[in-house]
Amino acid sequence: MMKKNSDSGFGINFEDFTVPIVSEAEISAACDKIAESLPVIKTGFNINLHRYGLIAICAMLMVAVITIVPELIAPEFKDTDLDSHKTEILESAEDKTENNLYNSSVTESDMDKGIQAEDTTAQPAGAARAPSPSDTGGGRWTAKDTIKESKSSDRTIKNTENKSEPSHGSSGSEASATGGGYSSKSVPMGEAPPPDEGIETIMDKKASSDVVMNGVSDASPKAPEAAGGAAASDDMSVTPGDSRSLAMSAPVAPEGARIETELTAGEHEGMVLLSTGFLNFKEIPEGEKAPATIQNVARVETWTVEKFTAEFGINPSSNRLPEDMVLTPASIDQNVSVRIMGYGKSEAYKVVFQYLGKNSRSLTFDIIKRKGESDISAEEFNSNINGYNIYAEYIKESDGCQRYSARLYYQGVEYNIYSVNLTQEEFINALLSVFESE
Amino acid sequence: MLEQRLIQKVKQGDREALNDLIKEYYQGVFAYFFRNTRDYHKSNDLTQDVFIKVVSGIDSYENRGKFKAWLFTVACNVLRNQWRHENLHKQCEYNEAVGGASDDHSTAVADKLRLEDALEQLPPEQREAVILKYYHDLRIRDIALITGAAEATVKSRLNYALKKLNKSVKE
Repeated sequence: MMKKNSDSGFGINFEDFTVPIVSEAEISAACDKIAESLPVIKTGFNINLHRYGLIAICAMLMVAVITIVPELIAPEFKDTDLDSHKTEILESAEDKTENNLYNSSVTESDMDKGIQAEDTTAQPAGAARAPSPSDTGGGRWTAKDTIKESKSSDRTIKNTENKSEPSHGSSGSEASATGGGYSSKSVPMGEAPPPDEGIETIMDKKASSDVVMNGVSDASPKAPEAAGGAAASDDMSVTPGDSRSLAMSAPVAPEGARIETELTAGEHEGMVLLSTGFLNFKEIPEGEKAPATIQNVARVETWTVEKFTAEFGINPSSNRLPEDMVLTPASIDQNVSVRIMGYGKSEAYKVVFQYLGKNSRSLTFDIIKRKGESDISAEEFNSNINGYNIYAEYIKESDGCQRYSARLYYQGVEYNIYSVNLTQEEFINALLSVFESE
Repeated sequence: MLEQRLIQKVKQGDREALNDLIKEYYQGVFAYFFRNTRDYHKSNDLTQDVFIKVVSGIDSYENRGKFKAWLFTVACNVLRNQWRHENLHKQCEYNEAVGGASDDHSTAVADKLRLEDALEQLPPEQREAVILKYYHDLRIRDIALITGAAEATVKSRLNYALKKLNKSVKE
């Protein structure tokens, strides 16, 4: 077998050492023997095919939450026409006598009292609070000239998992009134806002409950575009007559996060700015990257989509992936292959989604849910998106192969994303898809 | 990449994909063992051991590096286990084995060493490096990762090995 490396410069012809050819029959026999070790047939999870199923499940959860949470948080807010409330509150901020907001009569005296109460109570902008005892049921409503909307901070997902230090406006800091940024203050999903914080008005309580509901609903697969969008909104202040509705307080940006640094295909930028963060790729010299290692996989289980969704609570979006990337293999039923790693408290569940494309392009999402804490060290992080710390790196090999990888902890799930031969922009979009949903 | 697709299918229990993967790499792995052991049947057994280990652990294989490098890492470990088992890694035993095997070619040994004999005379680590580089077209970096040695060490082994081979193989 002549190899291009056979020219050692010593005049040694390595072809002299011939090797017998193993017959087809022997190889076939070996295949039979080796096949006994083949894993049990299992199918992968086709995000695309089961997207609608997951969306249906999440929709049901949303409906259940929408109907249950308001009862728990603010029983007096039984009005279901939330959208109209949002619009009316903003457009008629000076019209204090709108009765249909809360199905109750609101007099000017009530409004005045509300204004006074509001004036005397210092509330941090952008924070939400539960109804206070002073609020009367049936529509106590105060007017404000400007409404400091519950900002992204109200429902930006808490970044405590990353245990990051405040940097570039990341966790630990409250959102400012003027900018979105990477606020970490949040209302835990599904819970009422903490008392004595937040906007004074009943209207804002409504907003906060609305936000909480949105937050809970966003815990479903549709979640993360909200976080990106909220951070992208620079000015959440709403003035009377402002056409923006309270819906703005829900952190959903129509276009999602944007790459602001100009990227060129085939080239690499060490620092990439995004509308909601930045990526500071660590460049790994060729040869330093360790090869694939065999992890301690205790067993492999086949889960139903429902169980997977319940455990992981995610549905990665494929909207931002390159068109040629195809989930491989495509599943044909409702099951997800889950690798169980470790034991007891260190047990973790891992699911791998791999997309393959032309010209040796590949994109892999390793998604891990641990029973214990994530083992991502805070010191690793070099980037931040939507308030979440990320570790990103880049390797360019001598044969021109480009490899990108990123690691983050988001909504209780550890993501390891790595690509082969994708452009930097394609990889970043794939990373951003974690924060978005279909 | 075809290889990646095959691996994905193997992970899903696709028997046909497994057969394709084995047929793709079987001869190469076999050649690796044969050049190290010069024993046909043993090389066959070791090759099957490698693939059994690979298939058993295929679920945990992450497509971060080249499959070939991973495959040969497993092969290298299997070979070293075999060395430990047979205690053939000692230099003196190799020399004795070479001496015994060359009885039928005593004249040839005196005047000319066949390449395979010359290879067999090399210390195992040097021989392994030569085989991986010149027969399996692996780069220094990959050989270093497979064998667990530093790149400089691999280069040094190759350098010494080639000098010995050049000296041993006489025209």
